[in-house]
Amino acid sequence: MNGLRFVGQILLWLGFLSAALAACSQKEYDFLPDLEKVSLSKLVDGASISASELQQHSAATIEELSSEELETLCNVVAPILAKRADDAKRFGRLTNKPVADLTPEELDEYVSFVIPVLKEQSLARAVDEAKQKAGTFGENAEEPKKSAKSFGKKEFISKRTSLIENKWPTVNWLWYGLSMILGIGGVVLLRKTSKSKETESSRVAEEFSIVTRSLTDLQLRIGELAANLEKLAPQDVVEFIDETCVDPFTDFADARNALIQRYGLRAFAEIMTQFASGERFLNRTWSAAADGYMNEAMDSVTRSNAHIIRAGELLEKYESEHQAK
Amino acid sequence: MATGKKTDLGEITIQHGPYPELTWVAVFVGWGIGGLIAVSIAYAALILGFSIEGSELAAILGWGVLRGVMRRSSIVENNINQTIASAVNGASSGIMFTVPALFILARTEGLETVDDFDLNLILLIIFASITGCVLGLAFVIPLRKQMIDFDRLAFPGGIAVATILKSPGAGLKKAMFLMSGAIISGMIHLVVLITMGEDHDWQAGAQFALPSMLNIVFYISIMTIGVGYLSGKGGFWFGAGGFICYFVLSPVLQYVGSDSVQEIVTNPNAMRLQLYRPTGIGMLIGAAVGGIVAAFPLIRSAIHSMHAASKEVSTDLASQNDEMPIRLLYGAIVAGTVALIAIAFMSSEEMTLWRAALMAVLGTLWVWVAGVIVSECVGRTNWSPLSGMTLIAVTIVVMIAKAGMSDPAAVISSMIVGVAICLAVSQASDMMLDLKSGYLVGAVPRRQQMAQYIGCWLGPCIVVFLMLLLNEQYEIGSDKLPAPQATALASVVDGIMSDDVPSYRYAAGAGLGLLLAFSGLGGIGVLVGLGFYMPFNIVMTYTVGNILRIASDRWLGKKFSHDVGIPIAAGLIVGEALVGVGYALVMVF
Repeated sequence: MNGLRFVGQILLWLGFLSAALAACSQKEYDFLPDLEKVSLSKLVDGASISASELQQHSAATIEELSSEELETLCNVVAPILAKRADDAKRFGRLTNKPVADLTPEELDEYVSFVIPVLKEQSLARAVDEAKQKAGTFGENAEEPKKSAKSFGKKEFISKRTSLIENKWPTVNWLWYGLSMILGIGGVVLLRKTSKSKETESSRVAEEFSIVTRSLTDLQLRIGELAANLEKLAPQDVVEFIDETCVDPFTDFADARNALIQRYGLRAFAEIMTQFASGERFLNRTWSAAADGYMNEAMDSVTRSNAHIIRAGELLEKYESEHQAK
Repeated sequence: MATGKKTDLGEITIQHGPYPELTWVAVFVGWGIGGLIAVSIAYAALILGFSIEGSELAAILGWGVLRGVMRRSSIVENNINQTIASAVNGASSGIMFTVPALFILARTEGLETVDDFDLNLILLIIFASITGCVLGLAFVIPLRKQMIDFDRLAFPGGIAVATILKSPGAGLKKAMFLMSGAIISGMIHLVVLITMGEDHDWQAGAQFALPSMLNIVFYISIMTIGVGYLSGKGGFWFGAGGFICYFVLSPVLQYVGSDSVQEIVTNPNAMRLQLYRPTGIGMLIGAAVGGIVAAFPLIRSAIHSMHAASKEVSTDLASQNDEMPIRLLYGAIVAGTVALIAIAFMSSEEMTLWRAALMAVLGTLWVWVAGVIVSECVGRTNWSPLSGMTLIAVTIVVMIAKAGMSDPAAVISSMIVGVAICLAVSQASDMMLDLKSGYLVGAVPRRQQMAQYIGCWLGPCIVVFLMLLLNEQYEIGSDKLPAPQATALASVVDGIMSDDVPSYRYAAGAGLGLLLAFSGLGGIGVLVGLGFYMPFNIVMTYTVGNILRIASDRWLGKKFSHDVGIPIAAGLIVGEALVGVGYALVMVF
C-alpha cells in the first residue's frame, strides 16, 4: 500500500509541476505579429516618453496604429528612449558618489551634464509650484490638477497586447489538460490508499492512543484544579495550568487527525468543539487568576471541566459505535 | 476588600466583582487608540506604500493606558480594547489601497471626472465601507470554529498579541524573553532602516555568484523569522511554493518557455509579476473553493451547532452558546447585500437596478470566498493577499459595469463596490486574528464579535476624511503623496478597462489550486499559492523561521518552544512593528 501511495505522490507532483509549466510557458507578447515584435524589441527599458511628445510623432494612439505604422513610430522613438536610458545611467554614475570623490574627467562631465539637468529639474519644480499656487488662488482654482502620462517599452507592449482578441491560447491547454489528468490520477491513488490506510495504519492507532491518554490526563488535572481552586492562591493556579495542562492539550491537538480517520468528520467536529471550549475556558481561568479575579477563575475552570468531560463522553460514545461496526 | 499574596511574580491582588471584559472603558480607549493608529498608518501608507499591522501596537498601547495609566487589571478587557482598536485601524489598509486610485485614474484620458467628489459621493463611500465591514464580519464569524477550534490555524500575529496581553501574569522569565526579542528585533530593524532604507534585502545569490533566476535574496527582517517560527511546520508549504517557482519552474522554463519567457527568466521580478503572481492568485481562489468543499461537513457542523445553540437556552454548562446568534449574522448578510445593491445603484446615474444587483450579489459572494482565503493565509503564515483579492473583486465589478456604462461611471461605481469588498475582506481577516488571540487569553467570542462591530464603523469615517484632506492639501499621486499601492491598483483598473486581464492565467492557477485542495493534504493549496504570489525574499526569510521552529521542536523539545521560543518570536514581531511605525512617522513628519 505504501508503494501505491508513493506512486500517487509522484503522479500528483509531476502533474502539478507540468501543469504549472504549461500555465507559465508563454506570454501574450508571443501572439503579436512578427513585425510588431521586431519593432517593439528596438525599444529599451528604463526610459519613457511623455504623451505630448508621443503626439508630436503620431496623431493616432498606440492602439490605433497598424503594424507598419507602429514600426515607423518605434523607429522614431527607439533612439530617444536609448539616449534617455543612457543619460539616466550617466546621471546615476556621476551623482552616486560625493562630488569631492570625482576624478577631474568626471568633474568636467558633471559640470557639463549633471548641473544643467539639475537646473532644469529645479526650474520645472518651481513652475509646477507656481502653477499650483495660481490654481489654488487664481481664476483656475476649479481646474483639476493633472500630471502627464508617460510611455516606456512596457506601456507600448501592454497597449499592443491589449489588442489581441483571444488571449486564452497563452496557456497551452492541451499540455495543461494532460498534466492535470496525471495529477488527478495521483489524487485518486492518494485518496484510495489513504482510506485503506486509515483502518490499518499503526500510526493512526498510535495517534489515537495519544488522544485518549491526553484527554484522560486533562480530565484528571482540570478536575483536580476545579476541586481545589478555592484553596489555591492565584499564582498557584497560573503555575498549575502552565506546568500540568499545556502538554496534554498540545499532544491531543497534534494527534487530533486520528479522530477523523477513526470516526469521520462529524464526530471529529463534535469532539473538537468540546475540547476547544475546554481549552478556551482554561485559558480564561489562567487570565482571571493572573488578574486576581478568583471568582471568575472558579466559574471558568468549572466550565472548562464540563467541556472536557463532555469531550470524553463523546469519545466513548463514538468508540463504542466504532467497535460495534 | 482586596487581599494580596506575595508570589514569585510579585503580588497578585485578589479582586472582587465581575471580571471586566466588554466595558465602556475598553470601548472608548479602543476607539481612541484605533483612531490614532488609523490616522498614523493611513498617512504613512500613502507616502511609503505599505500598510502596517496595528494589532500588536494596539495591544501595547492598550496595555499602557489600561494597566499603566488607569490601573485596571483585566487581560480580557485589554483584549477587547485591542479588538476594537484594530477594527478601527482595519479601514486604513482597505481604504488607502482603493479610494486614492480614483484620484490617480482621473489623470487618464477619458476618466478626468472620476475624482469630482461631492458630499453625496463621499457619504456613499463611507456607507459602502461600513457595509463592507458588516458583511465581512457576518461571513467570517461562523467560520471561527472551523479555523480556530478544528483546524487550529497558528495566526502568528494573534499569538504575538496574546503574548503581550498575558505578559503581566506570565512570569518575569517569559516577560524578559518577550522584551529581549522586541529589543533585539527593534534595534536590528532600526540599524537596517538607517543604513539600507526601505529596500533592505540581502542579495545572497549575487554574493555567491549563483544564477540570478534562483532569486536567492533574503528580506532582512527579524520579524519575518519570528513569524516563520510561530507558524512552525504548518507554514512549510508556503516556502515550498516559492521554491517551486524559482528552483524548479524557472530553470525548466529556461528551456521549454517561449522566446519571450526565456528573455525574462533571469529577471525574477518580471517572472513573478507576469507569470507566477497571476497564477498564484488563481491558485489561491481554486484552493479556497476546493477547501470550502472539502471542509463543508465541518462548516455545516459549526453552523448547525450555532443554530442549535440559538434555539434552546441550556442549563448544561457544556451546551451553552458563546457565539453571536446565527440569525443576527444572516440578517447582517441580507441587510449588507441589499445595502450594497443600493450603494451600487446610487453610485452613478447610468446604473441600472439589475446591473447594481449583479455587482452587489457577485461582490457579496466574493467577500465570502476572499474572506476565507485571506483569513486562512493570515492564519497559516501571517501574510495577507488582500491586494490580490481586491484586484479580482475590482476585475469582477468592472467587467459588469463597463458593459453598458461610460468609462468614468463604470470606474466610479466599480471602485465604490470595490472599497466595500476590500474592507469586508480586511475586517474578516482582522476578526479571525483577534479571535485567535481571544482564544488564547480565554475571551468570550460573542463579546469580541460585538467589539469588532462596535469598532469597525469608525475607521472609514476617519480615514475617508483624512484622505480628502490630504488630497486637497498635497494631491494624492504627487511626489509628496505618491500612494504606491493605489497607483498599482489604478494601473490594473486601467488595464481592465482595456481588456488587459490575465484571466487565462487565473483559470490555470485555479485548476492547480483545486488539484492540491483535493489531494487530502490540508491547506496545502492555499499555502503553495501564497508562495507563488508573495515576493521570494520574504519567503526565504520566513523559511529560516520555519526551520528554526522545526529544529527547536525536535532537538530542544516542544516545551522549550512554548516557554522560550514563542515569547521570543512574539517579541521579534512586536519590536520590528513598533520601530516600523516609529520610523514611518519620523519620515513623514
